[in-house]
Amino acid sequence: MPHLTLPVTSDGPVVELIVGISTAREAALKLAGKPRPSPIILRCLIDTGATGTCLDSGAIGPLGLSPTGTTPITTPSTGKTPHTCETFDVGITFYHPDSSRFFGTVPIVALDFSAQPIDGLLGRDVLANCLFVYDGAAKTFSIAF
Amino acid sequence: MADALETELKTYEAQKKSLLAQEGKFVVIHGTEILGTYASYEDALKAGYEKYKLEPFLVKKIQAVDAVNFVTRDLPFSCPT
Repeated sequence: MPHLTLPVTSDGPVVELIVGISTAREAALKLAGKPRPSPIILRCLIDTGATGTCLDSGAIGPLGLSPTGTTPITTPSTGKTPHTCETFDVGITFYHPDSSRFFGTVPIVALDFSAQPIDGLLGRDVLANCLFVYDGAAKTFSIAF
Repeated sequence: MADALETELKTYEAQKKSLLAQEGKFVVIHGTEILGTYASYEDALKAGYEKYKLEPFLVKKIQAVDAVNFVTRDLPFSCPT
């Protein structure tokens, strides 16, 4: 199982992900004769407190996505009433020099991270396919995928 | 709110009672039309794109009560659409 061991930064366990359109959307674009938008690299905090993966709405703008779902979301400020957010399907790649891992269809929620030092949260939906070790004493973390 | 899929969400709510017979599956809806139900999100999304191309469509897990996504970090809500 390929893995990355990286330093825990002042922002926490942050990993760079390559984010592009989903496999299914890529096929639809190809049939329509439209170009595939270039993938983008996003700095995402590994967050075991996030049910699902959330990405910055501004950062994913160049992918030209359309919503394909909705989900209720609860944050510390929503109180008991969840906020309904649109979800978008993307493809996410963990880059590894020898063996990158591509998740071809990941539903993500677009949120505003403009005031944050990160571009998104890597949630438990993707982490369900990974092994994540946080070594606080060594100030490193490892993620295998 | 999810205005872009408003019609599809209304269709889901209108058909929810009968769809619940297939709870746990994923339904694909375009406007007021239900394309079908699928065992996985991936299969539903693929069917949606194959049928409706780049037109809007909804993929929704059939559940009596929608599962809530929890985010422990407080973030403003915004969507790119």
